[in-house]
Amino acid sequence: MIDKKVLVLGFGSVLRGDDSFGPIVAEEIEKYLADQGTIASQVSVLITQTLTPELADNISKCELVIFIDASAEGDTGKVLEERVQSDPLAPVSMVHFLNPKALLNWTEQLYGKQVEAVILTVVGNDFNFGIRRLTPELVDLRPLVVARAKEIIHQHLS
Amino acid sequence: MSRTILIDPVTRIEGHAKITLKLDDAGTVNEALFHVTQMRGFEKFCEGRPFPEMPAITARTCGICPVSHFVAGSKACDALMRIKIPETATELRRLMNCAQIAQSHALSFFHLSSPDMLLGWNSDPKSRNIFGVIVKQPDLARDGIRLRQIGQSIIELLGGKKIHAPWMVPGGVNEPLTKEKRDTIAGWLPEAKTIAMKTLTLYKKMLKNFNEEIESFGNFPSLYMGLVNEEGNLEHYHGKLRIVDENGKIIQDQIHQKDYEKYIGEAAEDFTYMKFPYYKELGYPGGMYRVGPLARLNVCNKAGTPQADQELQEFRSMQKGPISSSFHYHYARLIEIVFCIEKMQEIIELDYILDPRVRARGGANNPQGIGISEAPRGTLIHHYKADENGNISWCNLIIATGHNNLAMNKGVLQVAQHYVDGNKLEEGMLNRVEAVIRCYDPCLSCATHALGQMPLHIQLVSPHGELIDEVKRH
Repeated sequence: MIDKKVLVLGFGSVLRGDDSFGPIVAEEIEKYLADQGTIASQVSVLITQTLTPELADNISKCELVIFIDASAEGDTGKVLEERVQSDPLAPVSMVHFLNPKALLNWTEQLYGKQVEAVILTVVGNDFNFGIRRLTPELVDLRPLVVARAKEIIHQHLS
Repeated sequence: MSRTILIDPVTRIEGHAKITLKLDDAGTVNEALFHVTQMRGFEKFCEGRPFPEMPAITARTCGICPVSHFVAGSKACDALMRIKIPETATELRRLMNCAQIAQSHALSFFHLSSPDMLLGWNSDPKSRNIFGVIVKQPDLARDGIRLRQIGQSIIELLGGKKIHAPWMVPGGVNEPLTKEKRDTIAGWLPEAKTIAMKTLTLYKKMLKNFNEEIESFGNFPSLYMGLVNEEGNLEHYHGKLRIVDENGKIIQDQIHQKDYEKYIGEAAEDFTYMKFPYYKELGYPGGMYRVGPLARLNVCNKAGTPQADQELQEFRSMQKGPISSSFHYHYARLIEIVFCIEKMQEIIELDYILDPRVRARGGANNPQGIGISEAPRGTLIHHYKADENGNISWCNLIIATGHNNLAMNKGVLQVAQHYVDGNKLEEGMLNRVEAVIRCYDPCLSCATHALGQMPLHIQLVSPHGELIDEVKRH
């Protein structure tokens, strides 16, 4: 991957209903960037089913990472925004999937780089089988998250 | 009328393993049992599904080696359809299989096993993990991450995603390779080979530190089984089965996939959900054999690529006849990474590799189909039977890790007998028991391996059945 200033990382399974929120939003941002010339050259978008240790390499090459995710826990109907940092105590039960804080820790440990990070999370209602099938609440929240991600990107690049 | 549906056990939980050690009157270990306590039932719930779905369904068995199930499942479906798939599709499937083996072996070596070797089996378990490796040898840790990333990126490039890429299908693959993608892969391979060779060189220098482990980690005579090609060389995709004995003598060769049942039987024990395949001619449990990287290097005439052949020659110089210590699975794994990288280079240089004709089509023209390939951990067999409508009526999967079940149990016994001297378990012993299992890189590690340690439950039982001691690790 060529070094970029911002990395948008949408994660979740597109086979499991609301879990496809992250990938769907990331795709929309990718489409938006296609017409943005200079900005596009400074932003990369990755879509992944789960967060794996290899992503530490991608993250180490940027200044800011924006994680986009759907959670199964919490209050529905709103967008949660959290600035996060590397956490050496973040739970890592397996090497096959990590949470954002653990992944930032891998990045710091492996590449000696502390990367600014923000997570945009919505709370989903249905994670049963359903290819790219979002519940109505998440369909409504989708443009808000896209808009907020764009805003964060522009703020960082300005 | 009321009905009750009982789901027991609950599946898709993280897997667990349990080990029981039984002592004789003198307090020495005389029996060791490695229990796999999860049951998932894929063979049952595949019944009734249309056969073209089988590669994608069975790939869900695993998140680390799904490509292997796509390969064996697709080959079984090809056989059900009674078709010959385009040569380009064969090579593209082989390409993805090589990428899969390279990335899976990298995970096993760098993430799971290197902490023991670099930090010591008796080191503090709190730091005996990949983060400990990062502190001690950050370059090696980064190399491991990068090598696995390259393998996964090739899979993603070919199939559209890293895990469960729905690209291999009955009849071939669903998208040809483009020139752009080929060039991208070509750009990654030199770096991958540099990392693989650097790691192999380092590992060979470290080997002298592990003499005791080499002697006691599953070091015993056994049969070995793996696929070989028509020349008898290393093969992961096609080929036929070869079995050699503990002296290296070929006792079965060029076994066609349709005949596997003549040679391989499966036994079951009440202490574990994992079956025990065995070589029928020697019966159960005498027909114990090993599969996987060590076995493949023991059964083949040569690897068939330049650097891997050179490394294989050096590997074989360690011992007359087959290399018998399961500890050397690690070494064999590193040589196979080199082989897979060289093989991928060969494949992308084929003059027909960009041919767009990559899929043949057909119905269920045979009542059954069998597909055999080499997964990272060993020989993988998918056997399907379908009704006249093409729906699966019966399915049997013999997973690589299963073939090694007898050998893993024997290896655990050997380690326990070597390191357990009485009536008290020590952490270092516990870790060595884990480590001998880890040599085989069992597929249940997908679910149970934590960072540097897996959830284990070891019991020390007296001859009278009394529980003397136990150690649990969650």
